[in-house]
Amino acid sequence: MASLAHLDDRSLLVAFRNDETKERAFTELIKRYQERIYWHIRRMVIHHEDANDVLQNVFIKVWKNLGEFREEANFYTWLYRIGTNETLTYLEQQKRRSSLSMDDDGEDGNGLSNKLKAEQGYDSNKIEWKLQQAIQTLPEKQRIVFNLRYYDEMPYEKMSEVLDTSEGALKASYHHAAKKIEAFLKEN
Amino acid sequence: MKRAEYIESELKELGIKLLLDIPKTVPFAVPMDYFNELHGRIATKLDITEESDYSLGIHKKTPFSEPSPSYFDNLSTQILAKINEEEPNWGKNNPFVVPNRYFEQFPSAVLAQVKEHKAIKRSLGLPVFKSLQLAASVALIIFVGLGILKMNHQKINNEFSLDGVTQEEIAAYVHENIDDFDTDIVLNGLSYNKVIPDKILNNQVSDEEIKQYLSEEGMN
Repeated sequence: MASLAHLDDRSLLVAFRNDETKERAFTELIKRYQERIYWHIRRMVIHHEDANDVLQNVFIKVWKNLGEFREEANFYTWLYRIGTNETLTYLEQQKRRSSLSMDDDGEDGNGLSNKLKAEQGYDSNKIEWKLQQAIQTLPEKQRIVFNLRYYDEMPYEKMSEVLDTSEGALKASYHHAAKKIEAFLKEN
Repeated sequence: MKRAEYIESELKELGIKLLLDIPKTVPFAVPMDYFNELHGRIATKLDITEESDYSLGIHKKTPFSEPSPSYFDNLSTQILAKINEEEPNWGKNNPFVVPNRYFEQFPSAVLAQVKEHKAIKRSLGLPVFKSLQLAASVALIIFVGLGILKMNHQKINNEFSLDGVTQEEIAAYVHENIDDFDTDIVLNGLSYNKVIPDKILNNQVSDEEIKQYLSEEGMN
């Protein structure tokens, strides 16, 4: 069966609406974006297994709702938006669970910091791990803004569509986050 | 990985030079071939559902158990993964691990899950007659509800007029409850066009129809 890898997103969306090419188009869309969305999620939830669960939910939601997707919107932005919402929902659930079980290892700063320490290859002396620790001290939404800008290098205009927040507010948020991270790195 | 110039100049403008010295790569390790393996796993699931014409290179069944479709393609990577498990190499600034061939097998895993959802949904489907009964019941409830609503319309207007709510109050409410605007709300927002009849969207409503509507609603 011919690959649809040569098609752009818009053509893939058209192919998705055709029963004969629907699954191939969907597979191609997953292949195209899975790694970007995976890393977007992974940087927030830390553990691979958690990122995998969230990532699968994201694409299942995409399958269910892609038929309703308005083509004037950008698929990539829409996907990031779903990925962000699913991640925040997941983190919220984890927080509730840990508060119910009186667990002190929830998805707050401490819980995520402990998760980092449990990661394979963790080395507190390495600067890239220190940076991750600094990022985990940020509030969730500021963390998302920082990651999207610093790692994904997403323009504020696109980020504004993903997070439904004004560009000015996002710039301010990124600047605050970068300052906090700098302060953390200097102290540690 | 090189950082984009606009990100660097932004950090310089902010005076945060420390971040410029840190490698951009995420230190998390991903298990070797994680993305590749996902593909094969999902293909296996598709084979179990036996309801798809979607082919990921699944062969017809033989008496012998088959390796996953991508087994031979990824054999060398698997062997390398095993070698790396014994001799981990963390020199790439990416300490997060992703399982072997995860991304490769991921698309078919999602498809399998989607198919499972579809199968469950089908089994829950109502017979046509029952659906009609249900629709009639819903219509009756809406009809009675609208009558009650109309009777209370004046009262509701007096008590809950939105005119009295300021923009700042609305913005504050949205800000405080921003976490309630979850994925489902975003997704529902995507299909809003569905509630607007095509006739209206295409400007096909005649003046006569508008007059008749206004007359029925007691607005002229």
